[in-house]
Amino acid sequence: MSSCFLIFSSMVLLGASLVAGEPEFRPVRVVKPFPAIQSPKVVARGEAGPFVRGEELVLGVVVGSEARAYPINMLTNPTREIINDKLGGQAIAATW
Amino acid sequence: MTLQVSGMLWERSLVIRDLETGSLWSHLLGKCMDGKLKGETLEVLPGVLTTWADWSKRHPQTTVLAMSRTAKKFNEDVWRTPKRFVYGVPLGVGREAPAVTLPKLMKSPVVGMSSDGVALLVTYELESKRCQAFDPTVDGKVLAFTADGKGGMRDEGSGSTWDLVTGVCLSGKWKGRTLVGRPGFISYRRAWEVFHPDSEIVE
Repeated sequence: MSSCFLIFSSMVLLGASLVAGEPEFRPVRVVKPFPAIQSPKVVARGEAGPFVRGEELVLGVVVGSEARAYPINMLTNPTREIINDKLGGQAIAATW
Repeated sequence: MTLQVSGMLWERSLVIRDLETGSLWSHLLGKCMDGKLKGETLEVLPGVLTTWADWSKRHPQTTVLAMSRTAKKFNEDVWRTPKRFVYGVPLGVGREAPAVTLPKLMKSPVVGMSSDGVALLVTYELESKRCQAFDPTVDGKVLAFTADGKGGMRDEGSGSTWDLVTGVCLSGKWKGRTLVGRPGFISYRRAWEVFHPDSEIVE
């Protein structure tokens, strides 16, 4: 179950420290890993009609001069929780 | 880095796996918890959760993901039970991130706060359902903002009016200036509290 939306740069930032109070990392396996979704189909705003309605929520991001929206109603399945993509020349991951 | 849903959960929260090294990452923390890249972090980009109508109006050149739908109407959940959600504002690696509850923002759409010595401003726009975080500092001065009752905000020092989505000053002393936006994200409150037990939550 996902807990929040986040868009990450897929470039790793160096340096981190353990924040006091963080719970110990104890992952529990539920299912096998899902295939990574990479650079799926996108359409221009003018062709968005069949895909998303105005009142629906999207996860939007601007990188450089490029903007892209990820409709939440396409991300609500565990197989769709991470979208690897490229925007404004940068590798990103949209997550829900 | 190519990320996949690992099929594992940590405290009921998504665990991400990168294909390149097989390391495991916490989704909510954006941090590698196990494997070759343990300790590394992912940069949070300024994503926005908002309506398609508002996003496409503000970004006419936008593209949109075109995959099959997985839900008919998810958006109802977030706004039907807002008390289950908070808007979190990362402060950077190693620093505890504060959060504001959705009910607080829906009641007081302009919230000024300070956390770990960092001045923050969090706003909420009703129609677009958009939360936004800013650095309220202008020319080295931390401005104090309040809602103007007309869908915008005002800084108390000069009375200038500002757009609370774009952070642009529309009239008054600071006209033409823009507040620097900060990344933030909506999270289930319960998940937030598990991963940020020392987080200051404004409600």
